[in-house]
Amino acid sequence: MTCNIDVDMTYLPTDLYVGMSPDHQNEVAQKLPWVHPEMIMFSGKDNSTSNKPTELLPGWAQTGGNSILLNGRPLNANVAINSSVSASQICGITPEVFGNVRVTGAMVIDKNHDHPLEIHPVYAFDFINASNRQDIRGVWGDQNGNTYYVHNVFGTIWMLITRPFRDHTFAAVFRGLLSGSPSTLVSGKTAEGDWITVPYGMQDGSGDMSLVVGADALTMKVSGDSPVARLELRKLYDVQDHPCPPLGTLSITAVNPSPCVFPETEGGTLVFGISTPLPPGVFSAAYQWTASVGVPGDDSLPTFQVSNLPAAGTMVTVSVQLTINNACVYQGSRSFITHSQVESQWLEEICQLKRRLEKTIQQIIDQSIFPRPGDPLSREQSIDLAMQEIQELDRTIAELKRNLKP
Amino acid sequence: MANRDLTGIWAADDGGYYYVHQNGLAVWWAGFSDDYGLQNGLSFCNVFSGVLKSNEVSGQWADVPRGATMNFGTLSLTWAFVGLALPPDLPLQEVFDKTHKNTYYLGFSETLGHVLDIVKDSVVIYGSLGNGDSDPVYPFTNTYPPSARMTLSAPITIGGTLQVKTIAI
Repeated sequence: MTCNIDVDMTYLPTDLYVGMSPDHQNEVAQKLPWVHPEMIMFSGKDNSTSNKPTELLPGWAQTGGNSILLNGRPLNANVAINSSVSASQICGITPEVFGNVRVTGAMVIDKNHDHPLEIHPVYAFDFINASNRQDIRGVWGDQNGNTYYVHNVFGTIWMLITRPFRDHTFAAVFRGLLSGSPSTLVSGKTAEGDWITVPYGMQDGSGDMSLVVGADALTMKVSGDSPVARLELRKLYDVQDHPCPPLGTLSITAVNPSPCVFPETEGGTLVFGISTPLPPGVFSAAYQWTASVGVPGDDSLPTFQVSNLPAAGTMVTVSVQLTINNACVYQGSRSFITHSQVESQWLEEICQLKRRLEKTIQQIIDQSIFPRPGDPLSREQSIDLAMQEIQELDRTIAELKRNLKP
Repeated sequence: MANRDLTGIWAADDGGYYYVHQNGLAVWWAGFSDDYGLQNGLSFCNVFSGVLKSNEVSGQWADVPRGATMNFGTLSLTWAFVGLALPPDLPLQEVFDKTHKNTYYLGFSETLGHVLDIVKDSVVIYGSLGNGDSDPVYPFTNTYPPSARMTLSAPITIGGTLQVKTIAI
């Protein structure tokens, strides 16, 4: 599969001629700006030990990691070929004459034809179709063949920088923070952070890096001390993702309740909070609490106080709406029925008994595993104590039942 | 514990390869899914930034769009990886001399090395698409599949509407 490219001579790699023989330099200079990219369908050799051939280079009809990449995804033979042997669609994209592209591959002179300058075989093909949507998430390129994979997680910028296929000279990762309010346009903002090489490439280094977003959010300028400093990036294509993490329904719990205290009591006060953990990168969280009855406290804080709870037997519903990073809205609610003062005292007593019983049983278990001469109670004494506590619990529950009868 | 150096390439039980750089107690990585081919990191690809403390590394990670997923989160791990070495790339001329263009099958003995004079191993250029060689509307020309039997696992249409899985010419 072939095409013709009118090369952007203002954005040629600065090292294009480095390493070329003088003859090649002259030939390339004469033949530019026209280049003839050629994508190979299959590119491999027979495998004598297996029915599966060995792929040596990316091909457009090879699949997965062996396929030519089109806007970063394996092409996987997803091509519509019409009767005039032209490709009307590639991976769902309709290529258009004059459309802007980035082509990666080996630069060669084809000895078989009129010696055209070719990118052959093509390793990756990018249709430059990023939209001006004020979103720096996506894939970016620079003049010198680096690719920048960018994810903006609520103002934390994560980035991987790689060289083209077969070039393992340099690879780095970056993490930084985007300046300004997330609710304003990204144009003109700066992401400042740290970069460090990873051994996907041979080079070793680390340092500071800043990315300044251009007016249209389709260009960025790099500064700092990295090998890509002073380069201008162009956005190649957008990526779709889910900006709001899936937190589900929020869980509401009472804040720091003392053991065996039941504050859901008529006339009492309760403080609620959200126990659902928030994701990293949250830079703003707006709370909106409501209570169906009772006297609400400040409804915009991470915790919410409801006082003067209503008469026993009343259903109380506490709800919250949480908006994180001015974008993602989550909700949760919790309902409970208020107790009378007497009920709460009984519940407290039963709870205390239960805790004592649990402690005693744990003691019995511990002593049966690690008997120690200095233990305050022998195993038999502990069992007797547990039996007494169980009887006391039975009595208390029976008395509670009698008192709660209408 | 600070002298423990995790820098290197690691294989993990999620099938991924992790290119780790430890700088003091800071640990960074680029994680690539294994896509069983020449290129990895296409199913998922992530960046991690964390701290080594005792026998544990903990920190935050986010996917980057080399892969097909865009998740993020926090994680802690103790290393149970296997160290690897970056396999060296064969010189391109050597690859060209072994590569049968457009077919795997014997009988097509011509290799890329026979027909192509390498100017530069890997080049990235920007530009605009010109007219196609066979159709003024569409810039891409496709004269393949060639005269060989092969099976494709992905959709391909020929002549507009015909959809085939196996091509035999």
